Amino acid sequence: MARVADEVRIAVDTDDDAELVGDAGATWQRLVLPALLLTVIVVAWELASRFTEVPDYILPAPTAIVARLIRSWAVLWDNSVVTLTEIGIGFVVGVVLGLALAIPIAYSIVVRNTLYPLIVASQAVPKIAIAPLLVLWLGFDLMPKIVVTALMVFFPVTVTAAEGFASVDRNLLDLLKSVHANQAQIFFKVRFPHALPQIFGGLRIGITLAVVGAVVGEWVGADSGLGYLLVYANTLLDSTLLFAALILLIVIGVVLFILVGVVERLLLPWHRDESTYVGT
Amino acid sequence: MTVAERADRAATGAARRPQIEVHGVSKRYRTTRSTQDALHEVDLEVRPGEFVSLLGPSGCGKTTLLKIIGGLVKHSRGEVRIDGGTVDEALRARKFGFVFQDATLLPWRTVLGNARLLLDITGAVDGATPVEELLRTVGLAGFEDYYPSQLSGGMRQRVALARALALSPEILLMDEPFAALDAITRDRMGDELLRIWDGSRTVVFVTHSIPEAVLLSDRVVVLSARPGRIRADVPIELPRPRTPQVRDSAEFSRYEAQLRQQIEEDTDGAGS
Repeated sequence: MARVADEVRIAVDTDDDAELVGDAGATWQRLVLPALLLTVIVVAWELASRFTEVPDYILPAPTAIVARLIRSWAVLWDNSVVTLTEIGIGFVVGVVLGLALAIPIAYSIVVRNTLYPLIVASQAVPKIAIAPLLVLWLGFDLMPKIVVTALMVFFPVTVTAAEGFASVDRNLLDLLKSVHANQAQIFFKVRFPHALPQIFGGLRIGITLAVVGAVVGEWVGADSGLGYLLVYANTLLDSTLLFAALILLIVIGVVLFILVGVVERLLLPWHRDESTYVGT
Repeated sequence: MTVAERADRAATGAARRPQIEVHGVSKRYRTTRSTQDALHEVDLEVRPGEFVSLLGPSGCGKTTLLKIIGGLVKHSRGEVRIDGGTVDEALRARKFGFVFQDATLLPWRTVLGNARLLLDITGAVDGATPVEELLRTVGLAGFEDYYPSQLSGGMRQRVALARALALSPEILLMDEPFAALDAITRDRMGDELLRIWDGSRTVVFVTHSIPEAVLLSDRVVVLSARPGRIRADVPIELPRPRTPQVRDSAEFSRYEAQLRQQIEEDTDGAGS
């Protein structure tokens, strides 16, 4: 018993050093430093537009954008809801599609060799180029936006999940086979949870791509949504409205990204301190 | 266990058929480019309750032999019998417990959850010893709710040992279980295993550490490399129960020297 305690103490001791160089400074730095940089940029931008003759339709001042955000809030909010709906449905469809593709890819070399080149090729196709086609096929409503979004989201999910499902330790699989575990048990008790940290990496990339996907979908044919609003404001040379919509898109992207991180931490509490101990 | 009890057990064991019988087993690995003989005509018998180490340099096929005994690898020729039956029958009867070089724990399960993994999968209730008690035996009382990432390497291997013991296997197959640990922890784990193993279970223990093999074993089987074949079969007649101090005895050193000589002769032979 005392020996085990020794081992723990050794492990904890090693950990202290890691904390001094790694985490201690990082937490506040990660928040304060970007905020500081952003403040500097915004202040410089504000000063520049006040003391120069640049007209609002070229570059509106930050204060003007904020004023517009407040004044046109009702319109901006309605359009945000439309875009958020597209992002949400497209993301879920993309994730389900991505996971469904990852399973056969992880289990079968033949499927992997057959599908992977095509999947990679599908990512090389610029979505903005096929979006008009999708509108032609699927109409002006929600459908083409969801398809574009899902097409962008599924790829990182498929790649990370297939990688995760397949990377289970050989000996562990032997151990499970030795007690005649069935494929469903091996998948749900081991492969799937094992792949979750990697899948969440894919989800974080996917959620930012989902925002881009929804906007691209709206760009080519829509009568509402923040992407539509961008195009609309641009044709009117209403750059203040354009920037206001842009800021909302950024906020949506960042908040969704953080949300995925929060869900990950709630679902995988064991993964957070994966690296905190150095084995002795 | 007293010496008398041990002698009794050995006598009844001798009367019975060996628990593990390996006869003329060869293993040939085929890749598209080459074939390699991992094992050649290996014969080995292990009695019930015996602790046998397979000792040899890397690549001598000792891990392959262990996995053939445990049914994880199919042999190319020869026969393996467990308690007179086939390896598959033994697997179905859950006679084997495995411990590997890496603990291969599930990071999302606690110590207790990991120790219970095979029980959960088989739907079995606790074996002869409840899992909580097994964890106490391997020195992990109080750590039930820890996650593997919070444990040191030695403690992870303790969990792996408890997991293997949870189904009360008759035969424990250990593949260099302490090889990934630092030297001090490794010695400690050897002492612990000496304490935990009470002679009620057959153990086949793969190692490339001579002192580890001498300390733990009733018999050390030395394998030669490429293709793996049995070079020597050395009974270790140090009295039981053994304490860590047995390492300091002259007899211990004599066994070490004997085994080292066997391995070196083999290496010389390969060189000429």
